[in-house]
Amino acid sequence: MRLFLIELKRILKTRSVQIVILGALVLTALLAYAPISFVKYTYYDDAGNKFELKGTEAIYKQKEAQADYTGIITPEMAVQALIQYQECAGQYENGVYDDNMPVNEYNEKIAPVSFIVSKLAEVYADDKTGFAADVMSLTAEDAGRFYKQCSQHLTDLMNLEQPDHPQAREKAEAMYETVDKPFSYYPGTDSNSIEYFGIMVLLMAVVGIVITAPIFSIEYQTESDQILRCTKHGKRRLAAIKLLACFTILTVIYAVCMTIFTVVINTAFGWEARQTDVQFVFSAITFIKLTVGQLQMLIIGMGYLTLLATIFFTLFLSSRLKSVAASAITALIFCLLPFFLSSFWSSSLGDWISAVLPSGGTGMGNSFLYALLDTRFLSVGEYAFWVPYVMVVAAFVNIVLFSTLTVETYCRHSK
Amino acid sequence: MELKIEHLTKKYKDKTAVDDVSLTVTPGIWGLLGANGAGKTTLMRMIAGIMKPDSGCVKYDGINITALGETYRDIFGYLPQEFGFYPEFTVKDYLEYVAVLKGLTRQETKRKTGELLETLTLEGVKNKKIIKLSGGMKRRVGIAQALLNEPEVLILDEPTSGLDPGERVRFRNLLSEFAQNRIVLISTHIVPDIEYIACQNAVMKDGRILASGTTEELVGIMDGKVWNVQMPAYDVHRAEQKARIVNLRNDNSESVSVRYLSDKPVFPESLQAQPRLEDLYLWLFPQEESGKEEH
Repeated sequence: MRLFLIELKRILKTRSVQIVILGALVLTALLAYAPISFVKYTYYDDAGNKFELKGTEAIYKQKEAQADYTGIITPEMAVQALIQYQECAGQYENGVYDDNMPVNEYNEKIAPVSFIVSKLAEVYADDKTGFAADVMSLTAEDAGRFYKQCSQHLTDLMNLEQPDHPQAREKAEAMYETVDKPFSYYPGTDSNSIEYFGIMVLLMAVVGIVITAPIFSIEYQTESDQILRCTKHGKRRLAAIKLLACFTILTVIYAVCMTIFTVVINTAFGWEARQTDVQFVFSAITFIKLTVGQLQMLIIGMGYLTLLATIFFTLFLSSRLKSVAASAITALIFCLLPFFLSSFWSSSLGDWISAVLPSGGTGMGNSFLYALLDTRFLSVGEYAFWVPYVMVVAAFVNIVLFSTLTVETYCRHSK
Repeated sequence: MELKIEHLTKKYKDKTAVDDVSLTVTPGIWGLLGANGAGKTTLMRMIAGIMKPDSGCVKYDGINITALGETYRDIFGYLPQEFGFYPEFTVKDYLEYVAVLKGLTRQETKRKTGELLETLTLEGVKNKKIIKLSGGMKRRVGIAQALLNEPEVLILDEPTSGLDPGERVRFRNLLSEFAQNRIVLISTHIVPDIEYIACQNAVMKDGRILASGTTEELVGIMDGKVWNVQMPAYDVHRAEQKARIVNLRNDNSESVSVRYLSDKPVFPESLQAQPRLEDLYLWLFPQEESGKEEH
């Protein structure tokens, strides 16, 4: 215990660690503020004065406008929303994009129902091309069959995207069967704020790398390890304690930053918005049963696993490389590698590598969030595995593997 | 109590740094003499267990130190040639950190750090960052950490580099006192540091032990090879071409007293001189060999 506390104290007294922790807190506040600041609401009062609201004031106005669409969205509400949308947009030559549409009318008739209408367009997409349907061509009857069409659309899309993998199609359809319908919606729901949870995970991974990269490398670089490794507890126990200290520090940083972020976001957008089903925020055919609140918790949980996998991998690099710069740069490259692989190497192998790397769940387009919302499966022969499951298993394996390898590498390190 | 080095060999790419070295180190102060590049540091790292030999082993009381592991490290103290430390450490923080790693209790840590800070005159700088200390002070911190657990086996690699003459004397006295019933092995190329305190010496060259024994035994090798002669100052340059001159002393403006090494007298009127350990060192390590890199 004394060894653990003294190692903890040593790491926390390091200037670079103190700066990184402070930076993480500042960036957390900025990242929490960003999606709030993106919300804008413009309107005119009865006297014709223009008002442009931002942030929490704009969120309040938007929530006020959507008050009628709170809770379970029944097929009847979907019909009502489509009719309202079409009646309003139909008055203008270019529909909702027409410059002649008054802002107040858009705010009252279009914006409050756009979350339903966009899903109608999505599920009635062309089954051959996948292109979204023209909202103005949909009928009230179509809107009434929204929930039935969701399942049909999933089948169509899986046929389009996974033509050679019947097991993937079956799994997706089976999972979607478990999703409760009709979906619920609560005003204040904001997709940007959820995506920022993914960015927070990436930030935490970078913080983890910067803090852990020097842990062993600095000893080799300064040659201080020569003395430490000659002491009674200076080999296996010291290596394990260093891992435990890093784990503790990063866990606390993660918990504090994520708590700040979650509280700020949910307070600004409204805690009730956490009850919205993810199918109304992202794709209607997201085949996992989750509310926004559950999704937030899942991202935080998986983000934590990915963070641990990333820091243990970084510690492993640190135990192998003799310079702090080399271990930090290598770790950062591996942290960003899944993002580049998914962006520039679209192949089955690329997807596998991207998913199983320690930082597989962090990044932008390759994040765990997008894997959850996507219909992608990884296949081996005739077997198909849903990407988020692969990421979770890989994170656990990476944590165990690299923590063990780190201790062994440090013990075997020879001058 | 004995530390037995058995056929230790360590090769680097193109050089054998330690070549089949065998030595039995018994309690007392041992000096390991050798020029830079002789293989002293490599040998010491293997004794410390932080470098794996290509062949051979080190045994403490008959048991391989690798098998002893934590037990060996518990009775071991080491000061490497390059004293590395975390840049953020103060002297006190560092000694406490190492004390915990050495398994000292809180009370022992407080007592030993207090004692060593005082003995090594570091009390006044205990709250200063090590990185801001002078070379000599850093070295003293290094010595302090090695002594924290009162080791039975103490290995010091060039411990006096950076110490001023006064500090050297204090260090020698400290070690002489400490070495009772303990094995202390000091590697150095500064002969006077061990000449008066080492009971045994080993001389290393090109990765091999050339000679070992008591100071008197080793000095005996030089019997009849150390000479003194008076010569005019203007002859010194010419004399340097003929003999290995180890010391020059100006007696007056015209005459110089020359001490040189040779199997037989080279200059007329040469008188045999009492050999010292340094003479042996200079005999074995001619000047041209002292520029090699240390391994």
